[in-house]
Amino acid sequence: MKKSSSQSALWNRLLIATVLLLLFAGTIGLATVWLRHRVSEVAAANQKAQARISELDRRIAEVNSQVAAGLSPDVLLRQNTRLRLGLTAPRDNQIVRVDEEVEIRLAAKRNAELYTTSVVPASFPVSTPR
Amino acid sequence: MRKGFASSSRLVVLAGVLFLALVGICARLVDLHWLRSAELTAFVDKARKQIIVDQARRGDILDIRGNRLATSRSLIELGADPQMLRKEDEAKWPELAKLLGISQPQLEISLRRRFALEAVASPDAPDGERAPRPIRWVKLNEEVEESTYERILKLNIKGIYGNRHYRRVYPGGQLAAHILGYINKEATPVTGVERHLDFYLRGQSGWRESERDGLRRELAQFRTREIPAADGFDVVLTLDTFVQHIVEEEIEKIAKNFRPDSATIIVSNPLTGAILGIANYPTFDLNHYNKAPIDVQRNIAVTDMFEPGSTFKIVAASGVLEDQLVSTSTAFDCSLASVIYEGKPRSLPRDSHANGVLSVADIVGKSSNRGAAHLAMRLGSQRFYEYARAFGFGEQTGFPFGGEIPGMLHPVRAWDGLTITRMPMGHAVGVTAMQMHYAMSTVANGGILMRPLIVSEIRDRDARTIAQCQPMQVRRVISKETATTMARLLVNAASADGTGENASIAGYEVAGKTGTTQKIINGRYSERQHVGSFVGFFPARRPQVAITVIVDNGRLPTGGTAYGGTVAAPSFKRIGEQLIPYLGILPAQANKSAIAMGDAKHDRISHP
Repeated sequence: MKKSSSQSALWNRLLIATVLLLLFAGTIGLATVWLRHRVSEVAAANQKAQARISELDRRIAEVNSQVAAGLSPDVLLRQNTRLRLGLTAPRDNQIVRVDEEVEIRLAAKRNAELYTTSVVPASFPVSTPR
Repeated sequence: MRKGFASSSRLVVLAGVLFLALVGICARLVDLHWLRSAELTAFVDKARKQIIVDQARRGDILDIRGNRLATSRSLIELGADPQMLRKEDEAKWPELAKLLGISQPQLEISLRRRFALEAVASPDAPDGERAPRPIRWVKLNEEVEESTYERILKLNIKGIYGNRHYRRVYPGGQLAAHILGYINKEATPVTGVERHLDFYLRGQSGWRESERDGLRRELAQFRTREIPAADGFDVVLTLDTFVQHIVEEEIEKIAKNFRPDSATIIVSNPLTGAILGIANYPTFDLNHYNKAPIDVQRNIAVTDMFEPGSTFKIVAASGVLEDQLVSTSTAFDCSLASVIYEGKPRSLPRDSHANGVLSVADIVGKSSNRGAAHLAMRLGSQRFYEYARAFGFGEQTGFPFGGEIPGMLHPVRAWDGLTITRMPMGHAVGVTAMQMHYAMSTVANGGILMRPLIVSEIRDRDARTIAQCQPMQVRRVISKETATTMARLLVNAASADGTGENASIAGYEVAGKTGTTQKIINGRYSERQHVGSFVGFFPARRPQVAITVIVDNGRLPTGGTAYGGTVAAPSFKRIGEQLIPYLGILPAQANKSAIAMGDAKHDRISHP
């Protein structure tokens, strides 16, 4: 028995719909895969950056401990001797103690300079009676 | 209607194929996700899931100026898997040996040994049979630095790899060793600040649940739960590295000059109780703690007690002045060998030099044992005991770690007939260096006993203050007026007229007291072994620094008695002179105290 043309058309539509559905599903799938790939790329980049930060933190800690060791009084004294710098702590008689408020003194000095500036003589034309 | 492009039979076939494919997929999904779900999930979990621990970094210990006293750094334990080594990499071994600081033959011995003989565990094997076992790990160096490790990795030698671990380092070596404490190889804090403040220092390790690929690399996109690590807080101490260095340098001098059994120096701000420097001899290097005997690791400033000798005279003198039983000019006959006290005759201790009538000021300045006994008897046993307790003797000062002991101060009911005459001169009482230091600081601080302050604050990694430790008053012991009077008397004791002349600093009023006591050896007071001490502060009118120097069994090169004025007072002077420019301590403006003193040069050794 021959199918009617309307039946064939229905099947065709169904087929087209199925193909479109498959294409749609495929696109969704591909998009999902792409998104996941991007997620993994970003995650890997984050991980790499995190690892780099940790590495830098470790290097900073290493340098900090080296600096701290280099600044310990014993090491500085040895350096002083090795480099023949002759650095010594100041003696009491070398110290000048400033008891007054330095800021106020400096401010007063500055103000004095501002207000006691010598007056520049100026001449103005004066009208005289004819 | 248009005719379709496919025949109906083809469509049926296609639909059938698609249907079958879908059924197949569904069946597989049911099989995987339902029927074998538990088994497969367990397998995947085992093979791919992993929990990665993110180690927290331990906080640093800093001094008051921010200098690092203890810090953590990562080091690499470097090793090799001999099974993985390649022939073509052997040319790089000399460079590797150079980076590791070992000889090439030494490295080759480690790397070329690929098998180890191991006893066969099978029950069928005869006893003692050994079979070769492949070696998968040979340790090459435990402490490779990050920068060196980077260079090693650049050599690209297959089979050489390292495991990272944090190690505690103490940049100052033995600086403040007894205060800082250390972390042992098992990462357990053993003593000092490291142990006491471990809760703040250690931080909280983080972790994350993740998956790994076939090469055991983490697949970051599959991270599920992630708890970040919280690094430990930094602890800021009241110690000052420079002051600490001065103190340790001085204690080294004492050790070199007098070869004592032990010595302790404490420097603090008497107004706040903040400790600026504290050192003991013998000491040890924190980076090599395993080479130091346990005995050396004790902070003897709080764990060991000694009879304080004449420095204890401040208790009786302060007590009688505070209770207004005497004035500084009240005189006592110190020539008498015994007196009647509470209806019974009491023998008085001897003084090194015969004294006649001495005023209270003279008793303190000349350090008269008999005079001190008179003062205590004037005060009465119970009241004298109460003052001793009030000054902090017989109880812990509150120094937070190191196993502080309370010392020994018996209640009056446990005293014998001699105690009231011997305790005032610092016998029959056991004190720690810390107790003596804070008792003297009480006089410097206008009569208020402070609690030792060693921790200044706790900060997070961004230097924000988490907790701050404030100076803490324990109690008022004597009035401000009495404290001022006592300071005046102690200025004379530390002058050319007193026993502590060697502690005097030109241009500054030093208040202090020497102490020399015989050690008890086999139950008897030794004539040869003494504990010499000097406890004082300056400037007397505006105290900024309190210093205690205690030398246990110092041996003078000349063979004489190690008086406190000889072995300890000069150290006070040297430390004080170095602190003046550093702390900006201003010289005294006032004239010298007018109290007349005799010509005593040494404190009196107490003869029981």
